Amino acid sequence: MIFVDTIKLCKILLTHPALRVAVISSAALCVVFVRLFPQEPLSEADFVALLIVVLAALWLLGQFRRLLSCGVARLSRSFREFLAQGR
Amino acid sequence: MGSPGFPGHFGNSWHREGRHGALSRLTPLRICAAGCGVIASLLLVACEMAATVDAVTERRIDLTARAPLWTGDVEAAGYGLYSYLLFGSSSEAAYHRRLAAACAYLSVIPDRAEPAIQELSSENLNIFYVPLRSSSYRRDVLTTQDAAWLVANYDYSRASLLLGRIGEEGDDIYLISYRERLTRVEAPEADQLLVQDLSLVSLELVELWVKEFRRQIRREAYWDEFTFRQAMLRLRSALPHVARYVAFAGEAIGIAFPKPALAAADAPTASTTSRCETRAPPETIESEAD
Repeated sequence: MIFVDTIKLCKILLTHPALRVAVISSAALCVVFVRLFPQEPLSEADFVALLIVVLAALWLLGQFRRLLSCGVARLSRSFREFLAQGR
Repeated sequence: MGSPGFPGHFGNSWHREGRHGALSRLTPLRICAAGCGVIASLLLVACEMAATVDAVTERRIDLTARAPLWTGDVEAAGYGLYSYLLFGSSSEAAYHRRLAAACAYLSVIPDRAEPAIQELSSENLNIFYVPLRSSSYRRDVLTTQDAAWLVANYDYSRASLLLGRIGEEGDDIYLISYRERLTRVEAPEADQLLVQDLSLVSLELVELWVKEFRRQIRREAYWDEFTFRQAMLRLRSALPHVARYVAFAGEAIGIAFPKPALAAADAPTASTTSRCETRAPPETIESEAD
């Protein structure tokens, strides 16, 4: 039963693109932690926490990127309008 | 001629044409996997570089040894580096944290009085002091079993004095390193002072922080905390707290939407007990302090 649940969870985690990136990044970070601090391995709860932190970081990065692209688009539009007014 | 399908939309026609080309192999899954692989490789390379840099610069201090700093005594001169384990206050709330720090201090750092360490030159040693009250019975060699005794006989007033010198007045636990004796220096140079605050470190990771502190002060620029390893240590230390909040959130959801299976699965898992707790219960302190 637990095995089936785990497979279902993995399916959900690996189907969604954002979750997939978060899972793979968390796994990479886990490897880094094991390499740097082998005496204190991550527990399951810690791994879930890491996943949440990575997801939050990805979401923030996405928001930042969106904000940046919006800002750049608005700036370029203003600049075009300014140039058009000049003519 | 034009592409089949949607001639008016360049993107779609390109996509349809490219379906059988080399670019069509770049599915989102493969792009993600490749990106994550690159990130993981970069992180591993950074790990290796951090280890190499540590190995190259580890030349100033050969070893860290601990010694008690009794009330009224002054630190011995001639050491390469001076470190201190300082407790900000004797509050009951932080007792287990202090106990965990004392346990890590005693188990990770060897005693200066040990014969093998006595032979080493003081210049290449980092002496790690812990302020203790003189009124208490002086023990020549402290062992891991003396963690509770150390907390009970800690000299809090002297620790406050030393913390005041470096501009700290918090209630928590600090690991401090400086190239000169703090009792002899009026105003230490802030840029060559290493101050590590253990206030947000969970009990399970206190020992890891003491180990990393020992490693950090072996670097030539021992005060430099902006390293990859330190950043990873901070991220690692934040995880138990996040895990605890997740457990709280799970519990809250379980209360809001009661389901037997969910409530059982979301029970708090993070351990909040110290490794030393079983070895040294609070009753021992009272009896020994008396």
